[in-house]
Amino acid sequence: MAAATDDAGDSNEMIRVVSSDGEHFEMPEAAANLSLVLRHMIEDDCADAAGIPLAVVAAKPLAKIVDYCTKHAAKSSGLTIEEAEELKRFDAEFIEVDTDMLYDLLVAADFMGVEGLSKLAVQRTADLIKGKTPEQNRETFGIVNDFTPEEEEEICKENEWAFQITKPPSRLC
Amino acid sequence: MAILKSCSIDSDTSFADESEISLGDDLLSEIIVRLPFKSVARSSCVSKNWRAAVSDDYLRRRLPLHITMVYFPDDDDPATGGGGGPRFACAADDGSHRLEDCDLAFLPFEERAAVVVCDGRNGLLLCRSPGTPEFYVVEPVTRRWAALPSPAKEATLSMLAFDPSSSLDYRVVNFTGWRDRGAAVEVFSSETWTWTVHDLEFGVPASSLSGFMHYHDGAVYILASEPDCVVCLDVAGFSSAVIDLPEPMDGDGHVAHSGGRLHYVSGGGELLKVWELDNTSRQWRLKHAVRVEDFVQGGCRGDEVRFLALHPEKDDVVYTWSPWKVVEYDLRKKTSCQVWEFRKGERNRVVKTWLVPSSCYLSDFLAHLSREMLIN
Repeated sequence: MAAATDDAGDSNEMIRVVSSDGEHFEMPEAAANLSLVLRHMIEDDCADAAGIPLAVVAAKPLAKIVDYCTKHAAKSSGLTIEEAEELKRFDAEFIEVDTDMLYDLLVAADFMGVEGLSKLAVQRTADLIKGKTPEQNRETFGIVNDFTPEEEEEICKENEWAFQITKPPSRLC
Repeated sequence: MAILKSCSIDSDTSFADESEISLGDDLLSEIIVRLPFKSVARSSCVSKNWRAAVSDDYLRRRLPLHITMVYFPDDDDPATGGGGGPRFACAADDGSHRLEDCDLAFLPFEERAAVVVCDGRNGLLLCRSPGTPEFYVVEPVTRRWAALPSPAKEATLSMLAFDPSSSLDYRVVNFTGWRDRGAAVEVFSSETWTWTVHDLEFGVPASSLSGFMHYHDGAVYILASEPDCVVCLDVAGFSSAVIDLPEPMDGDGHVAHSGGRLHYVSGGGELLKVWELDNTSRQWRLKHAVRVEDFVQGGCRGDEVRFLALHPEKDDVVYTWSPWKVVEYDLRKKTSCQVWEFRKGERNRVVKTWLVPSSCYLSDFLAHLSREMLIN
């Protein structure tokens, strides 16, 4: 299973990577260079035909990461306004994933040192948390409420102010 | 998705799946520092792990600064009453760059009009209800407040001393009587919860003190003339020191701290000058001299620009007021970074601004005082 490479740079060699569950992927060298870890491996001549093993990245998130890097490497320099807009749209669609995949991408992008993707996943996670009640956040992220009713009452009281909606200003006089 | 797996090391489930990797502290704090701070506070109600993550000291130090300010409604319309006393506002934390009024209606006063804001410092307000000797210390954002015990004497000037970067305790300094070069003060400490009486010597004539007061790490800084200087009063030991200014005061002088060092900012005339006091040599060094014209925006006059605050860490960054907005300006890059405004059409004059670590709103330093009140 290889990523789409039609719009990648032409001088690139293909770099092979292997997921933790043994699947092989290919991407142009310019795309692999967006990962700090892969770039160092390539510089150290560790990129051979057998592929660079990524012990903690499973096939599903790795396929996404290969897509992301390939797209971004192809459009990395001298962007026109339209191309920048297109890349932004690509990112927005790319990160519309379920929370399990989001978690995998957070961990994998951090591990592989793909800065742009790491930022994208972090911002997406923050956007999911923002403006939600604790109960909604538990639902979104599948978290069990492990407070005792007494503890919950106390902590909610402590943070009561954060649940209040800002009222329009009214005069004191 | 157990987003806070990094904090569940002590729970027995995290070892069940060996291939599972947890989010590191860095990644976790990257997420949390991108949240509006009200979301951060709400997050602590989700679960024990989330609560632990939000309470983490390292993370709290990384939370962004929160902008708070005291302003006067500049309202000429007689229908709405016009004028009025000082009010408190803060920058919305949703990225909208909106300045929002914080309503003090939650205070337990019979008449809302009776709230008098005496002083403000780093996100806290000192208020009183006229005709009563009681003072209230109020945190308008979290709507928490504490009623202080009555002082023994009537004050002619009251000042709130609070600096969350060094301590969550606060003091109220009441000036109760003036002498040639000193004053009698009554000081309330939130640590001991009592008022104590002291004598202060300023080292300069009391009549030369200006109304400008700045507080940092246990000391009050007051600008004075005869000679032009900063009087530094230690509010714990009640000693004082006089620091000469680098040049004669020219109308609009301010003292502020940035990076732990004392700064003198003069905004009178055509130049905004920022001086830094070297902590060892005790010599002033001119860091910036920027033409006020350069950062005047939108056709207002240079004399309508007022210095409000220095960034607490970066002394290249100043906060200024020009009608009708607060502008963050980088003196080195000579660019305005951010602009905050009130609701469309609102003309309010901002007089004081503080950059407060938003983590101090996640502390419960006023909560324990409210409990203490119940006991009394």
